[in-house]
Amino acid sequence: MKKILLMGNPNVGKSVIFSRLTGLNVIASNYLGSTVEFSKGYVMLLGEKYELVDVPGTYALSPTNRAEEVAVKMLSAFRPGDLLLNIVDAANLERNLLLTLEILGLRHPTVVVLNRWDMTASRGISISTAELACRLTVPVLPVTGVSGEGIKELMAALERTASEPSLPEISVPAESEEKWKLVGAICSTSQKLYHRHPTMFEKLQEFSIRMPFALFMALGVLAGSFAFIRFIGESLINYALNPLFTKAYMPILLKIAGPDKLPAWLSKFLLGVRPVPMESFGLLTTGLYIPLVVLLPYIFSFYLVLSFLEDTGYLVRIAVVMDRVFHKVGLHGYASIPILLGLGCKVPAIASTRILESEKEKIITLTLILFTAPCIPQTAMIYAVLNNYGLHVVMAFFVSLMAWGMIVGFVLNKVIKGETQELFVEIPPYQMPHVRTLFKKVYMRLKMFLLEAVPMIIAGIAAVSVLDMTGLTVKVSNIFAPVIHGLLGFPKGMSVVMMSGFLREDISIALLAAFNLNLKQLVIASFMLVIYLPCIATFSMIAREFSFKTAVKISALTFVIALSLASLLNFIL
Amino acid sequence: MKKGKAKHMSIIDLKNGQQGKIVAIQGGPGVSRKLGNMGIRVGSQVCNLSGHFMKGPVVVQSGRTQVAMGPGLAGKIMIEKI
Repeated sequence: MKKILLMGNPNVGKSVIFSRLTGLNVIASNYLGSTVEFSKGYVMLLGEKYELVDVPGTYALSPTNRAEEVAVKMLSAFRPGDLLLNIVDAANLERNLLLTLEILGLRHPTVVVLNRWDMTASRGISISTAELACRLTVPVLPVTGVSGEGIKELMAALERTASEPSLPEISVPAESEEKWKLVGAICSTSQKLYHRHPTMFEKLQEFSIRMPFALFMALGVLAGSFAFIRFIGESLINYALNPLFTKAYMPILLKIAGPDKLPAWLSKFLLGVRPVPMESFGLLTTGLYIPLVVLLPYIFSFYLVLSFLEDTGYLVRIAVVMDRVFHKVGLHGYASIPILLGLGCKVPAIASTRILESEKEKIITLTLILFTAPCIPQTAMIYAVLNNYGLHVVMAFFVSLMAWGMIVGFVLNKVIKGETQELFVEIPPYQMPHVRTLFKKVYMRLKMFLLEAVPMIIAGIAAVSVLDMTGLTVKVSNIFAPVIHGLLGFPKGMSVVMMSGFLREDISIALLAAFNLNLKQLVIASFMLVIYLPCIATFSMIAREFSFKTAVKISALTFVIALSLASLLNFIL
Repeated sequence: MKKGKAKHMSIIDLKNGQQGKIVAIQGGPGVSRKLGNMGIRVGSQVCNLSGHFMKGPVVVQSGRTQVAMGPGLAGKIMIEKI
């Protein structure tokens, strides 16, 4: 099949254009490296199917990092009949044109897109696409990816180029200094810059990276974000979902599947044994209550905030501000992005460790993700379980988790050989998030949770009930009693909780509610459940990103560490 | 390697908001290439946007591009004040 390679600098909106052309949804973010693994989709041109490849962003064809190596390698597989689509940030023409020249120097049929066309006017930029097309000797099209403006014209241009491929004729010098001169010459005739007063956004932009103000701002934004996530999540639960579940859904359920309507065992399986939805462990009560009432609101509000921070461009600035702290644990600031993602779900977080260059940084980041960043379902469950004892308990819990993370990182930094790379990252200009794109992204992440996690949670609860009904729970509990009861100070039945943690850690925390634990036991149990094993999805992601052996090793290590730490806590607290 | 004439200073030595013109980039060809691809090269005007705080990273503006870099890298960009 013929291919169209989508190429351009990092963070110029390639993924947005990709989504527009293919109709596929890919998560695009306002920081570079969100496409480390390239995506593929299909486009119809003149009745022929083309494969559209979203190549990782690169500044030039002489690679300086791994994402760029991938890009260059993909370009070398270019065959006759294929097309190149070069995405250029219209608001930063000069820098983008270096890559454009290098691409045109290859003499392949190319179409150039000036993306973010809508931004040029407000930034005092005026570009003549006709003049630019004349200088570059290839079609140049203004497009606004986020709104879809210009996509139709782009498709037409691609079809024209596909039907009668004309090769670029511009002569590109080999020397980099000469290339920059050519870029300068092209810009001077095709682009006009107007002076205008800096906008409020731009002033904010300056302040948000000026130290030490930027540090306080970042802490403020993070604290504000957590407060907002909690506010939205809690409001949704208290005023919408919980009333809906207990007042509307439960009475109907009782009418249909109450103990008087169905055989006792079936009713018990579906409705559970206790009247409280969180503790009953029925398939249709707790099985739906946990994912839809306890977890979903927080997942929604978390991703709403995360996507907002991503799309405005603030997330990268947090990474820059965090750089100093992260060097203490052998990482540079950019590693804070996988860790922040890990607060949502560990699976995409581990995938995003690819943006890190050295093995040492990857391993430390992975460990921090596993050890200190409970995913949002875990956080929501811990919050639900511990909040009965007051907010200060919850806060103390998460602060100690962070302190624990710093210790782990500090030790790993000393133990693992290798050096930490220096931070080197482009800071994208602030953008007002496009509301539809933002909600689409939140929707995609919610869908992922609903399709993948919800069935797992229900299956987990079903498994627990079956074990319980068949009497296996008691047998297993007796085997592990010395560890669970003797070492950790938990009730014997808790071994089931520990086992279910491998399936989904949020279920295991939910199971705690049924044991009437005291505060000390609850804290130790939550602490242990957060760190003791990666869930199945996370395990397979580690196996994919690193290796199966690494995944097994890491799981064994975390298990031993969690067990020893929990025992230690049991004796000193 | 060409050194700055009167007094050589790196981009770290600029206060925030101050501008300079790059006179030399120290280190190997890899460093020059990495910076050059972003448009940061000898002769270009740069501005230190962040200042330098507690040995942390420095945010450099060159043209319309802003780049955050560690102090080790920023220290290799030699400039003269303008």
